[in-house]
Amino acid sequence: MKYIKAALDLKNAGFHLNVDITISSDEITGLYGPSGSGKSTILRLIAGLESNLTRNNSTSDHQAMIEVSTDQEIWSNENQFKPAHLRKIGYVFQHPQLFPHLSVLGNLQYAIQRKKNSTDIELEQVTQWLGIQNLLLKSPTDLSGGEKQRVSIARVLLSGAEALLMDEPLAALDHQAKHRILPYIDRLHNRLHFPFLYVSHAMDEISYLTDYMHILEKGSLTQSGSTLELSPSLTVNENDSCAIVKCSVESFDENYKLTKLDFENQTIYVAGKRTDKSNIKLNVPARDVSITLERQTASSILNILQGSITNMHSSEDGSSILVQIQVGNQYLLSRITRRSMENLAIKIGQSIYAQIKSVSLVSEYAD
Amino acid sequence: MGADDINAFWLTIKLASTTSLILIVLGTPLAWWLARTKHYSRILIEPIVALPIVLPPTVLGFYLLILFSPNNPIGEYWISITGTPLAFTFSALVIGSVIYSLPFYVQPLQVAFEGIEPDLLDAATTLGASPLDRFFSIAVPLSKRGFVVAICLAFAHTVGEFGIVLMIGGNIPGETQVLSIALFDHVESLQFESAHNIAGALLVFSFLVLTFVYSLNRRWRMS
Repeated sequence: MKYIKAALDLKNAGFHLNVDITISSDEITGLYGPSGSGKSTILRLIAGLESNLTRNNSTSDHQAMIEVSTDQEIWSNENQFKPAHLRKIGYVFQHPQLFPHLSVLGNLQYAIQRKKNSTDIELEQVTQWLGIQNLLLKSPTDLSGGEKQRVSIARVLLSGAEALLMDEPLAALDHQAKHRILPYIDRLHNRLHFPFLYVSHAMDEISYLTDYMHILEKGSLTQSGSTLELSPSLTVNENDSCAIVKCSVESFDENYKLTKLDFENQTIYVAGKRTDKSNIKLNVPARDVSITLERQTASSILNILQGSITNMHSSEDGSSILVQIQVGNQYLLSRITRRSMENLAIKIGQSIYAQIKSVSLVSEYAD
Repeated sequence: MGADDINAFWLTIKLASTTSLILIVLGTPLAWWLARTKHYSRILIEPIVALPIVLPPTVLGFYLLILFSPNNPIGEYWISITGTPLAFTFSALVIGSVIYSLPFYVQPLQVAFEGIEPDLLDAATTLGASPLDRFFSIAVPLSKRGFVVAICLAFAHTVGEFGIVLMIGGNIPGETQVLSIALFDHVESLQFESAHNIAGALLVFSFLVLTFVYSLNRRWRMS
């Protein structure tokens, strides 16, 4: 499947959902929005789980226009409705929804027995991708939250899905478990090249996984665009706003035990040896990035990058400023005080140096 | 125990088993529908199903008797296909029992079905399970205890019915004379020893069934 297109216009008891969205197989598409904005309704309509909403019974306060199609077939429109169980789409719920009367293996076999296509995706391969080989004989009730969610993702992949919808799959997990699963999800898209829609109200997940995102507010898509460009305005009031950047490994300095990374033709050093994977993602927290107007030479800070200021957002109470800095084709975020901003007299478009505290540079995201 | 009592015993077992089997076939889809539907007709169907709990059995028996009469389309149709009137036959007892025990079967099962998280069924749907497949592969195994409770209650309640049997079945040994009627008969004719046997047996049986059902419910809540 190459894409899913959905045009949804739904008025129901005071709530108006009006969304036009295309989910392509080229990248993971992010859908960000606060709870109650209609995120789950969009996913359920695409998956065909709201069959009674789709029948066109228009009254004054209830009307529905639901058109969902893929590059291969029509799923919903005025005259047709393909039942949910026949759509080749996988749905990962916020809670893993493992069947408690079956073992982990039983849950996976449930999907295999009802497989919707003839792809040769294998049990062994999928369990290895998600690191659940050792859990197969356990009962779902004996698994941790993170393990359960990995099993549920494996189950969806084995069902012969050719597109994936994920509805806040990590929202119920703690920080640590969440960051253990993110790389698994990230790698899935590279392996499968499905249309892939990831829904969340956690910006760190969206930043990590997606390049392209939509923002949903009160049933409408208010902004769509590159995740790195949209994320600063969304995280300006969050304490832990961060930028996710892509780098490639260049070399390892045996003497200082530092790995040299190429980031937009500039250099970033990270502690420890990284494997020779050509691409890795770094998590750069905004509070660990400071701004100088000239390159500091007498400084313990190892990573200094040249960039230009593309945007500035003031926090609600006016005490801090989130500065978006463009470096090549990517963006960093820096959180500084308003006082510093005025002292430095920085403006949008100005060329500056971003200093990154090396220690906090890398979250253990890398493959 | 006399031969008539033995007959009454087997007839009671036969009636309760037949009734339970019919309820499994008819009551299960009804319980499933009631547990899942948002249709407005539910607010009428639910009290209709529950009516036998509060209605005097004689009221139900009276209306059924009228319905079974050959002057009535249903009674007339029965004669046209079987050649005999419906009232005062075993078949009449089965029909009466199914209606009378319906809430005792449907309600525990409906509660069990309502306890299944809708997202769990949605998950099965997106994994490719059709509605019927979801029912048998998810709903039934997850409602096992609900089924056991429902069948036990329907069976025991049928064994315990009296008024409705008297109204539509009468007291024909081997055909409609079940244990509760036989007991009544013994008391009427002052045969207290036989009455004691039947009454004691029914008391113990009912107690055992309820003990089993409650222990099952307790284990259910704990797990």
